[in-house]
Amino acid sequence: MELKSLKKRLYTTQKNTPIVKENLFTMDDFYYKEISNLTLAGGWSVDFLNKKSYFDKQARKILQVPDSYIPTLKQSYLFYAEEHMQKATNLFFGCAQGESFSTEIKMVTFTKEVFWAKAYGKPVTNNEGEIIGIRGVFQSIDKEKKKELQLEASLDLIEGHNKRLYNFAHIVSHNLRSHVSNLQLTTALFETKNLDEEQKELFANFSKIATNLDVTLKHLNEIVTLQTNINKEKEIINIEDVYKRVTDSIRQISLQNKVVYYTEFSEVEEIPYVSAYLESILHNLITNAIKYKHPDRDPEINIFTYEEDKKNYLVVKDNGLGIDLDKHGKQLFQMYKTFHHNDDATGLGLFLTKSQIESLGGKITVESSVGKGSKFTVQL
Amino acid sequence: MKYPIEMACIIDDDDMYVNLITKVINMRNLVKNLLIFKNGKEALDYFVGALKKLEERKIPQVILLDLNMPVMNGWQFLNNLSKYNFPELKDSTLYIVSSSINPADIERSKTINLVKDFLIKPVTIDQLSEVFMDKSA
Repeated sequence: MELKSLKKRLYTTQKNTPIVKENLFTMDDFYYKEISNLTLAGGWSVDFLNKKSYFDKQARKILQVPDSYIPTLKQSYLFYAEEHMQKATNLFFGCAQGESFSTEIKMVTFTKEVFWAKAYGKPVTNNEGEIIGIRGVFQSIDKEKKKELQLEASLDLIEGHNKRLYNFAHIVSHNLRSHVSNLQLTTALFETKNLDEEQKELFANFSKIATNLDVTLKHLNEIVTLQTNINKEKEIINIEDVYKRVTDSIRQISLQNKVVYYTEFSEVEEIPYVSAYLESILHNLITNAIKYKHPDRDPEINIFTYEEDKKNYLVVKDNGLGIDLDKHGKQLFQMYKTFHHNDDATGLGLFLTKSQIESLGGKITVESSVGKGSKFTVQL
Repeated sequence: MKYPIEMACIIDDDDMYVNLITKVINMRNLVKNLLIFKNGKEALDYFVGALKKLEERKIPQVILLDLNMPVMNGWQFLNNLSKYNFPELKDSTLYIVSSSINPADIERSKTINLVKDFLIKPVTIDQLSEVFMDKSA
């Protein structure tokens, strides 16, 4: 619409204000109509003085009343589903006493189709403040309501699937473990001294397979257990305490590799967290830093905390080999991905770390450059 | 011959596991008398009989209990046994030896006084030896 004509229109509307007031219950205002079209919301009103009820065009359309239909207050209850008639009556009476309402209610069309609607109602007062009628809007939310119900149904379905998957993982890991247990004990008890060299070698394979199976299963267990621990309770944890526990447990490796630790926990000293997780996260990041140290220098590991935008962060920074993020960035936190051809790399550590962090609503990011080192930032 | 443990029992339905554990126990001379029960019911019958002194039966000092068993599982066995509240049991040490890693199982075992520890299969020979040596020490 051009500005000129818009102005004209506004002017006309203003000039016609008394007429609009006179037609208070017919509601044929331009903006109102547009909004009504846009939102598919129907208007209704009851004029107590003239004892008349009105439906607007949109309301007539939604309720599928014939053009000749004249609404009456007496029959208005027919547009509500039986189980909601009392509710509708109460809301109407309340509104007539001056109480506005906003609700979700089951309505019925003239042709007896039931649909969910959002309904609002407000009293209409004259200049003296007396209530001379009520008016309101209703909007069909049948599609949304049905979608909502559908969504609930799919959620139930997914929950069921998840439960079955979880049970499956448990059964698999349980049953496999019984067999691995027996296989390991058998190989441990097997007397090898009377075997010839070739058979000894073959038997060594058995032992190795049993051990490998056991390790794989332990990983599986950790993942399965992680899924069940999501509801584990958080407690207030002192980060430095956890750091000390972790470094104590790897004292030998630290000494062997001449690791130098620099720590600073003063900005964030305590956080609510699952203690076992933080320990596991720190353990993983620190042992990774040692595992992937640079061959030409002793490992230096910086561990510190900080707060930003009311969020707490833990950083573990090393001067190790670094990772080519362009090449491996996407796979870094995935299961069974290793990058440095280390014999003791299982490809599970960072996957577990990420899972633990995310299960508590946090995030982990990495910055790294090849030959210089890596920096892991954990949003706790 | 001196054994660390006079009498122990295994309650487990996995024949191969029982067979292997028996071998380890015999090899290391850990237990003089080893009783084997295939499920909780068999074990419970023995315990109740022994504790009521119907016969000259002895109570095992070490009990290795599996959880998943037919007829009567480990939990049901513990439930039934604790109902009798036998004071003689205070000298026995009971370990759950299961391949379950369900945290709920492990938590549950902690609420039962009779249970000393929860061992997850596979158990190693050394672990097993420790269980018996620990008791005799």
